[in-house]
Amino acid sequence: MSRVVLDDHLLRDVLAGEQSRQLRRLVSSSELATTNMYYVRLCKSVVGARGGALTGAWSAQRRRELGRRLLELPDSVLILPMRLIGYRVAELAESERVSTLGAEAVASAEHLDAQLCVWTGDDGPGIRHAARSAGVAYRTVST
Amino acid sequence: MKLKDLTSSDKVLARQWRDPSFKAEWDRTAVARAVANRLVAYRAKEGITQTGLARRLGMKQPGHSTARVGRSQPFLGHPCQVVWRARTRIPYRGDAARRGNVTSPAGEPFEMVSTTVPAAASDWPSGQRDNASRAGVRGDARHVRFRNWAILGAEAPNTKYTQIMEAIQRYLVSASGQMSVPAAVRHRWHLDKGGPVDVIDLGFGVLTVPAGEAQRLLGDLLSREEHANFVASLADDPDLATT
Repeated sequence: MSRVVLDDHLLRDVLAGEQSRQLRRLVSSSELATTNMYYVRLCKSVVGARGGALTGAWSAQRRRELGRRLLELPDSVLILPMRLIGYRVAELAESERVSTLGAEAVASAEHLDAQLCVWTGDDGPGIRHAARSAGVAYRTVST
Repeated sequence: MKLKDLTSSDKVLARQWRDPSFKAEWDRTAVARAVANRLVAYRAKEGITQTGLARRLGMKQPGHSTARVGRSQPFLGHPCQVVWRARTRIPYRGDAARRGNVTSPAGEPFEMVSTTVPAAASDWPSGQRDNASRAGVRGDARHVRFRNWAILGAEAPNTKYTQIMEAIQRYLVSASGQMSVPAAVRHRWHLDKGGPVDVIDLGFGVLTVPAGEAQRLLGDLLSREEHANFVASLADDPDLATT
């Protein structure tokens, strides 16, 4: 089974059960992974979220508690520890002029021999270029 | 006489409060006044007469006369019947320090029909207990609750399975940790023959939702658009920006 590294947008869709047909097909046929930085970015977003019709009236503290529960990743979603890829992340960030987040995404996909999948709306040229340089398959997924 | 020479109702009330017998009567009829006020407000909002309201309640007009309700002892049968038959939710905000016989445990404002906590039921006169029971009110040592309540005027179905639940119900957890789900909920969630539910332990409470619904809460908590906006706001972050 192939592996895919999902960005935080796609991870949110998977966790929320809001998958497009393309993403559903990808999820059903692949082992899922994400990165520390993508996960942190999603967590930061949830921590500051105001909530919608159901949870908007909750206190911030209770929304955060719900968010903490909902963002607990299933064991099936892999995240490589930095001890394995930290140095490679630093190398890529230096050589490819990408953010730490972009460098980790490429390093993770490289280490896992996985395809790096990002949401179409957040397709960064720096990450795309770094992936190409590292020989990592890069793909955008619509939602 | 000029308007400024008149004494305000608050001042009159404050003066009358010094009379213990007045205070006792005021406390005794506190909830009934709340019922009466709500009915008056509802009538005004709907533009209906007492007779019209009686028709909606399925009662004869004198039965819900606001004057009569307002004078009644709250936990005698009559106001309770009005509340019950109208499926009326009546916000009654009390103050433990002022209300004497109608208090909330923590002395905080509360809603009468969801968690009214009057004096111990054992303290009521026997007639009150009987009337309350007939009116659909059940009480134990500390709690009195109304059944079948809803917002007055709401189209609340009132069948065996779809009736609106009380705001608070107490369920027993078995020694093995099992807890039942209310019949109305089982029916609404198509669990008449059993089945899964999603449970989220939030620390301050346990949230039970239909199977598959828990993950959708994330979509409510953080929409795609909101997350995209958050990410866009990190454009200058050297660590978290998409470059």
